[in-house]
Amino acid sequence: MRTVNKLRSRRGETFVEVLVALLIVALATMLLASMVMASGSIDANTREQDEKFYDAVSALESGDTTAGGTPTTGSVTVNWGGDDVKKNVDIYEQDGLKAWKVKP
Amino acid sequence: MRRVGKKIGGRSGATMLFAILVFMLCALTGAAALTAAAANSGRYTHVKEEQQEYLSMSSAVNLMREELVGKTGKTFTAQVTKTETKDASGNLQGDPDVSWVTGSPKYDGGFSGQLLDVFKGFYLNKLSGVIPASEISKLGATMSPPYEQDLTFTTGDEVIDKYKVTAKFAVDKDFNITVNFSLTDGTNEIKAYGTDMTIRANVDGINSSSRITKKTYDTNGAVESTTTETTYTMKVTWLEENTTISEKDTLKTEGA
Repeated sequence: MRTVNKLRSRRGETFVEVLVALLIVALATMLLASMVMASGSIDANTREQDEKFYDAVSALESGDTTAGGTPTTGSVTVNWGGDDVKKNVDIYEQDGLKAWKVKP
Repeated sequence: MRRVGKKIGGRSGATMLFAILVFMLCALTGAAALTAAAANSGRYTHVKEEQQEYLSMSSAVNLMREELVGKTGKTFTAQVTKTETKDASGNLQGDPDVSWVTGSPKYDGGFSGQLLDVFKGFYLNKLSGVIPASEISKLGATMSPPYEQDLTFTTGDEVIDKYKVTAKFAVDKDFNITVNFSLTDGTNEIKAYGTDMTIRANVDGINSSSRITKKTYDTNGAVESTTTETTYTMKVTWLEENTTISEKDTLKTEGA
């Protein structure tokens, strides 16, 4: 009831009060806009990173050298119940991830 | 709170109150959007670690599959000949001579330094049902199935070796191979990436074939002795189509 009265009231506010209120609303709008823009930018970065990441994973799995240059030569040691068996492998690196495959 | 109540009850305007309300709403909405974006971005680091776990494991699985099966399959062949001489009555003359056929036993798969002796031992174990043990001992040591061994894979690369791949390798009496892989982060097992590889073997043999290599006759022309050579052959094949790799959770292996 009080709120209804308030809405029906013909009494206004001072010019300064209205200006300050407008300033607050403008600040609020700017704050919201900047936050939404920042989150949009974070989201876009994440999406780009995701795409790069899955491309890298696909390239690593298929041993696709065109996607990330030539593999480096390394070796894997298989400890077979105490005996070390060394195999030459190609080590593929993409986006900080690594996988290896036996040299063909 | 009293002031707010007073303000609502008061006769003067509420523009300022409304403005503050709008400000708070905007601030809350913006904060929620930022938090969601930041959380989504943080997930990437975790996914990357999981992916490295998967790559370390699948690399080891691929190595074993390549070495034990390859594209065209791997085989183990073993051939032993027994030469014995019998008199006209069928009695043995002296001890039979047993020997490996030249180029036998042969295994063309990987880890032959370890597995050739195992398969050879299994073959001789099977052969002990065909020829006497005293003769088999001349060919080498027999081995009773199953054969089990623990394996660990290391590359010396910091990124790959962050997750340690180990495996339990086993060969059963029918030459079927199973490799149970597991992954640890150094202390704890990462169960999601445990993988089992089974390679069913096709075993042909032991087949035997005999031929008379020598006959001697007495002065009357009767058969005095007969020398017979018997060959015992076995061929075991491990093929790609008989290989199964169980995938747990997200682990996928090419061609499996």
